[in-house]
This record gives sequence, structure tokens and C-alpha cells, in this order.
Amino acid sequence: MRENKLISQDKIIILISSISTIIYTAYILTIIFTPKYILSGVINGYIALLHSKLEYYNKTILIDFLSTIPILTIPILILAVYQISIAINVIINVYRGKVSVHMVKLMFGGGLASINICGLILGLFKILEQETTNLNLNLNYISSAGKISFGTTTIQIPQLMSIMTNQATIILATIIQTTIISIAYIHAQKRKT
Amino acid sequence: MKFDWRIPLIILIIFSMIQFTGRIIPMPINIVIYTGYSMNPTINHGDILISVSKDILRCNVGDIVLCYNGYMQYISHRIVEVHEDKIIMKGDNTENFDPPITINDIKYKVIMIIPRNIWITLTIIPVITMIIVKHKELIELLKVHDENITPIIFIISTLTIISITPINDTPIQSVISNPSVELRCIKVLNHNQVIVKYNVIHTQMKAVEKCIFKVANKTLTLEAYLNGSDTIIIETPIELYQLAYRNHLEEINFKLKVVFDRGCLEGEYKYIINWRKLNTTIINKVLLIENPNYIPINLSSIRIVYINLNEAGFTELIDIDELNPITINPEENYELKIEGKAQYAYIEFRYNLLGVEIIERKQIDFTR
Repeated sequence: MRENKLISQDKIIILISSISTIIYTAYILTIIFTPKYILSGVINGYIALLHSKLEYYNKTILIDFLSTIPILTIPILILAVYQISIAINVIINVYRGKVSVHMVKLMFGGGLASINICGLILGLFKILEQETTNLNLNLNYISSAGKISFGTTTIQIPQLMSIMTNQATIILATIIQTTIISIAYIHAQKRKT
Repeated sequence: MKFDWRIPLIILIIFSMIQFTGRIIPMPINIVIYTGYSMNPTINHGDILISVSKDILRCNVGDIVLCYNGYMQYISHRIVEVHEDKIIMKGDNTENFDPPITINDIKYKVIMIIPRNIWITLTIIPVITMIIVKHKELIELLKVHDENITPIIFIISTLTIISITPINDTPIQSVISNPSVELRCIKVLNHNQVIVKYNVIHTQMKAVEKCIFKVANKTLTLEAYLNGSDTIIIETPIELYQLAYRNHLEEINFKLKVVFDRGCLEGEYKYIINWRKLNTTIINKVLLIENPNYIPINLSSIRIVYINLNEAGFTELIDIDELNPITINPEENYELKIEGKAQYAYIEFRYNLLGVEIIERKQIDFTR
């Protein structure tokens, strides 16, 4: 049996990689669920990758691009569910004392896919940033009638989300996660052979 | 026959590549999952649009077209106007027109809309059936290619989703209507009222909060109220113009603060007052003196001299009437009936306008 070849040191590495996968997945789920932009003023509401709610002068408005982004977020969500299920499965198996190399391989596959998904997350945040800039309405202006004050829109990014959705943070998290999984995978491969 | 899992993956890669290329170079057919609400109810969120290159099918007014902006963004709206150099589009569910585009911006004409309920059902049922039927092969595949198959499936499925779901880039200006207020005119209706008219778009006037007139370092708060959806009427007391007259002012400045349902407006305006001489006309032996000013004018003296012309050509004074001073109210007339005591009557009256004494003389000929 493959699992018999894994020694306790390997199990620790696999356990660490599983926990890191869960943490990474939780991080990914957090950044796609938590609103990145909080809008107040003329346009009120919030924008997250997976959902958003905007009101224009207290009337709900539907912005087309905000309905596209959740669909493009589906692969991220599917991968996150996939990775978290495999990682939990591996942890349960480690506790039971029978670690499957096959499961480590699937976890490694998920790790490789997360490099691709990382590019998608970065792209989606970039698009979100570009499109959200257009919502920065300023309706305080001077016309022939005088000084008109119909309000402005303030767009705020919560400090924590600003750090978490930073390009460097996402890339670094993915690299760390993939490296840890790769180490576990290499160890599992060595034992297998 | 053993099912080769590489075939659908290769088909998906080729399909995605054609889709991406088609966003820059028109391909004969393009498939898009429509996302958004700007074309409701014609196209609903999640419907599939099958479109044909505009080089194959000509686009006319009323057609739904696809315009790509780079690899990722697109607009799919209806053509409402075609001009020589520009095309105007509008979503069926948007309040405003889109910014004008050129014919080169249009890539495809939508020829078929597949409702989401139909295509989701038609896609999911075969996929689930295939997974159930081929589940043994699938498990075997995962066992053999476990570390490779996961990223490959994810990469290809992500690529496919991105290739059929471009970002609907309907401009925010098409979806929402910004309120605007422009001044149309300021008109002095009479000495009691001034009207201020606006062009009010996508907002409503609620109240006039402040109306302040500044005349010769004096500030007067006047009563103003809304009249209809775009007009304000200001009640102007006689003291306002008297103050302006005393200071020889020909310009009245005022400030208005108007509350709208979406904010407020603070405007500073002015209008000109022309201090004019009294208008006099003679109609049927009646002298009509009209005061066109917004203040009362006091005629300090009115004298009527009656004269006859004798046969030798000399004038003969018949009578002189000295009338009491009178005041003509703003924008009112004073009628002076002249008796036919002689052949001619000469009327002379004096008044003061902006510190200058004005003497007016009129003649009435009773011989005619």
C-alpha cells in the first residue's frame, strides 16, 4: 500500500500542506466574498467579486459589469471548494493514520490550478478597479443656474481588503501555497518510488 | 469504443481560441453569454447570444449588435439611429443613449437568443448523463493522471468560461440619469413679481429656502415660492425699487437657495432696471401719462394754458389752469381730460427722474 510507505515526517509535511491549503482557500474565499469597495454618497452600496449592491439616490441600480464578474468568479469558487474538500480529506486521513499519495497528488493538482486562478483573480480585481472608477460620480458643479450641490460619491477600500487584495499579497500567497504543496508532493513521490 | 477525454478538452481549447480571436478579428460566428440587465426584457441575464459577423449580415436600425472593446469588454445594445459618421445605440432597459460609436466598432449582429433555462438544461443534462455513464473511466483517469488532470481541467474550463463571458461594459451614463438644472430666464413680471425659470432635468424642486436681494449695501429677505415644476416667483416690495432708485442703481442682484429632491442649488442672479421717462400720448383730447417705472413718480406741477389764435395771427391767452401735484403709481396711467376752452391747450408738467428735473410739454389742437 502506498500510504504505508509514508513516514511520520512526511505526514507532518502533508498535514502542514493541507492546513496551508485550507488557510489559502479561506483567504481566497474571503477576498471574493468580502466587499472591496464601499460606496457612499450619490451612489451607495458595496462591491465584492461575487456580489454587489448599489443604490443611486436610494433606488437600487443594476450595473451590467457587476453582473458579469460573479460569473467569472465561478471557477475560483469551484477550485476553492475542490481544494478545501481534498485538504480536509487528507487531514482526516492523516489522523486516521492512512495517508493516500493519490490524495496528495490531487491536492498538488489543485495547487497548480490555483496559479492559473491567481491570474484570473488579479485580472478580475483589475477590471473591478477600472469599472468602479466610473462610479465615482461628482454631481457638484456650476451651471448657468448657479452652484449645484447634488452630491458626490466616495469610494472607500477597507484597509484590510486593500492589503488582502493587493497584487503582491495574492501572488505571494499563491507562491507560498504552491511551494508548500510541491514540497509535500515531492516527499510523497519519493516515498512512492 | 473507449472514450478519449482529450477530444472534448481539445475542442474546448480550439473553441476558446476562436472566441478570443473573434473579439478582435471578426469571425463568422460569435457566441456570448449575455450578462447584465440593460437589454431586459429582450435579453435576460444569462441568455446566450449567437451572432454573425457584420460583414455577412448588414446591420440596420432596430438590430441588436455586439461591439467589442479589446479582448474582455463588450456592449450589446440595439441600434436606434444611424448617421453618416456615427451610430447611436441604446439598451432596451436603459434610460439614456450610449455614447456614439462608428460602424467599425460593431463586430457582430445578434441573430439568435437562447434563453438561459433552455441552454442550461440542454448542457447540464448531457454532462451529468456522461459523468454517470462514464464515471468508471473518469475515476480511472483521475488515478492515472491525478496531478495533471486537475490543473488541465481547471485551466480549460476557466478559459472556456472567460471566452464566452466577456464583460458587459454598458456605460454607467446609459444606466443612470444625472440630474441637471440650467437657468432659462429671469423676467420681471411687474413691480410686484419677478419670475425665475429653470430647465430642470431628472430632479424636482421642493422649496425655496432663501431669497436675498442686495441693494446698495442693504440686504432684503424676500418671499419666494415655487410655481409649477420649474418656476420660482419672487414677491418684490416697492421699497426694493425705491431703494434702487434712490441710489441710482440700474442693476438688481439677488441670491436664491433652492432645495431639490437630490440636493440644492445656490444661484446669484441679476436683472437690469431701466429708469425711463413717462410716456405721454394724446387720445381723443385726453392726455395719457404712463409710468413705466417700478416706483411711483410724482408730478410736481401741472399747468394747462388755453390759447386762441386771432385773425391777425397773434396768440391770445384765454385761461391758465394750475392743477395740484399728483403721483402716478408704478406701471399705471394717469388720464388728464382737457376741456375745450380754447382753440389750443398747452399742457406742461414737471417731474424728477434720478435727480434730474424733466419738463414735458404737449399741445392739443381743438380746431380739428
